[in-house]
Amino acid sequence: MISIFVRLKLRLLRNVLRTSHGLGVVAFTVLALGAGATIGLFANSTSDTDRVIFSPVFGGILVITWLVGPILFGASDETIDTTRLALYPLDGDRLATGLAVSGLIGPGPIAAAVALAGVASRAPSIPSALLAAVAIAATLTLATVNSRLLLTALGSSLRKRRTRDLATVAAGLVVGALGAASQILSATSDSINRATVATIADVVRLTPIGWSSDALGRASTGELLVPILELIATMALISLLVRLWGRVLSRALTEVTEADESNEVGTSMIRADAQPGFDNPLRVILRKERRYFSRHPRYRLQVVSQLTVLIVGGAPFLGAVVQGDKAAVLLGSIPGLTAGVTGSNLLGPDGRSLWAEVVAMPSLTPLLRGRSLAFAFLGFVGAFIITLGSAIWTGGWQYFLPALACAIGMALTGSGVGSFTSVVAPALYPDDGSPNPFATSTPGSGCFTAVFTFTGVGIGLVLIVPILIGMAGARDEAWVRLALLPFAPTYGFVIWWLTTRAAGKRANRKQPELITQLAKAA
Amino acid sequence: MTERPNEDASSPPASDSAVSLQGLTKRFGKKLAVDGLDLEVPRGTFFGLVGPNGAGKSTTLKLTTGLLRPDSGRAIVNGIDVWQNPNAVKQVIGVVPEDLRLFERLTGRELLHYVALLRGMDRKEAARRADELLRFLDLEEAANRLVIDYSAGMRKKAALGAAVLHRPAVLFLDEPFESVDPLSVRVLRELLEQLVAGGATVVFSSHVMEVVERLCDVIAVVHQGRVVASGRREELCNGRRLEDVFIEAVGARPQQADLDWLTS
Repeated sequence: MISIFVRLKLRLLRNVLRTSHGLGVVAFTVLALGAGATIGLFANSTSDTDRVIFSPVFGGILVITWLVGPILFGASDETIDTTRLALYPLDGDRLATGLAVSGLIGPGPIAAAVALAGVASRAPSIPSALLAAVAIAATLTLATVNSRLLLTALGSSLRKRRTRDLATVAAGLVVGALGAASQILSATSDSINRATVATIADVVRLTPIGWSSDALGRASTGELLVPILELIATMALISLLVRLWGRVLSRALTEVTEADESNEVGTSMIRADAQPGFDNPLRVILRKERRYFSRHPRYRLQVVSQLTVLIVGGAPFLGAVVQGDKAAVLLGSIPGLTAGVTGSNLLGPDGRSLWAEVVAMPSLTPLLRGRSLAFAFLGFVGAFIITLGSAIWTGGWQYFLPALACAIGMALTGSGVGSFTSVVAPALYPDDGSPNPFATSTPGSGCFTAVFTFTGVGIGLVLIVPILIGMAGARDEAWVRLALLPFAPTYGFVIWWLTTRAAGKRANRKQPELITQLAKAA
Repeated sequence: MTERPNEDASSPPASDSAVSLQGLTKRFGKKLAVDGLDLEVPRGTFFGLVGPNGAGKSTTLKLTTGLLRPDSGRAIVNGIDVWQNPNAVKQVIGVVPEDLRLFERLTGRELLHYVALLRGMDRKEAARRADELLRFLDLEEAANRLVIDYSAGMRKKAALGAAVLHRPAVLFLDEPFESVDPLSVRVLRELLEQLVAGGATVVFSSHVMEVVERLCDVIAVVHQGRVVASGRREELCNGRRLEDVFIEAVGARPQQADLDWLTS
């Protein structure tokens, strides 16, 4: 049965390469493998002592990322959608085992394996190398089984919009905390303290998530006994988790086929405001956004989470602020650009109602402009708060207004590019009753969307170069600071106007495809 | 095909009923979708489950095929309690659900092949049956195209092929003829008739009265989660059209006020 699942997974992935999403999968795989190879090369170049420290820390991060990543960021590998197996006489154990093994095939696990292979390649003997290979497989299996078990167990809750919103807020907090921690760390010390990492490694290797990766590190130095014991313990744990997952899966497959009434995915975004023939659609959209904010818990949560990311996580200047650099106030405008990331899937969350929008509105351009303006506003608010805070902290008030002008320009640029990404690579929020709430029937669509979002961010960065040049000049020149006041917002508005116009034109031209893509039952 | 329908060797001696539902109940929040439903489906028949939209037909089929757990009641298929032993039931049944959950990124041939493998057939037999079914279902030319690119009719045919590959003793179909063109309906019907002729039982839900009237030996009318009329077609209809029986059973809609503005 395992071989059937493996062959099925390979066949599905191969067939995805024949479709429009194939390029996205290839690009994502290349990126992931590149990252994996870089980490692998780094690991390969370290000393025995450092590998024993690096391995459990990296392995632990891997397992935790696999565990919480799908919930926080709404994506997971569901190439073999379990709901499509509900009709067949497969008991939970066989199903879970097959899915666990086939889950090791994909860009993510392979990239992770390449990274860990950097440690394994230093093994001094064949037995050590074999042990290291088993340790890599065990680490990845533990990561995938943990992740899928949690997703299946939380499936019915995670399909509720409110829980998903809480997850979004949590994602904001995690990203924010990581961003802030790294900034403050880099500002307060020359390098990450090796002793601190060693302490973390000592803790992680004692926990189940660190056993197999610690075995890898030790095997790479020639140790045999401890790694063997750690791997036996990991195998036993995996076996238990697979059995548990099998039970949860069997239960979940018979409970999830009816839609949850509390889930509002698919509800038209303009249902209350839509009037046939209304003359100012943009006003309607903006009014709707405001109404959502005042009345809709989902929207409020979304706003709060995005602000969290924008203010805390998107602050690449915290170090400068901590050091008291007055010009850091200018950099406070950069979070405005992140509106381009948060607003790069404007049609997806309410995608299934797109047909209603199309019927209600003469063109999709106002819809995109309204939504992207709302995201630009969010970006600006984030930038405003951080700019004000850094001005108060450093006393660099001469940079305050220019920074706000730059924030407007960046928010408009980012959200404009985001609106185009929204049309080129829309991603439907999956809501098909699958045990995995992030499942889609289109393997590779996540890769496809990720590649386009990152490309969009790259394009946004290129487009704000004129503003960045202005900011560099504004550090020392008062006239540049003055010139930035009209220039940055105007420049941002022009970019926003052009990109949303292009996005709207494309959306109107591709309406049938968009509706098919976003309204399709998974 | 001379082989017998796929029966579970461990199942108890067959009764006259292929399917027996006893007090089946399912509630979604405040809505009672299936309300203590009792039903007997005679073995070897073509059984039609009809009812208005929202009557509980699809939910009943899900409860009967192990896809949705009932709140109370029993579902026995081919002598096996569905919720005591769901995998044993799934071995002897085929299901074509309304929301055809197919692996859409497989080709038609690959889909049938993998379904056969998942049902435990060896590769040679899986390939043979897949090829024969593709030919019968008129999907041979499209066999190497991805299922996602199939039309609605082709998808129904592929789903039916996947459901009968293992020669089920009982086949359940939820609205099998919806959005299917007449040519495809004919192919589907021929396959179903062959299956019943071979001793299997076919249970399908529909709200298209003409199809049910033409195909089914036994019919049950479901309304508000209960069976409100059932029996052999001739007895149930007694010379009348099924549509009239259906309207009588579910209660005719009261005469509405005229929409003058539509005609003026």
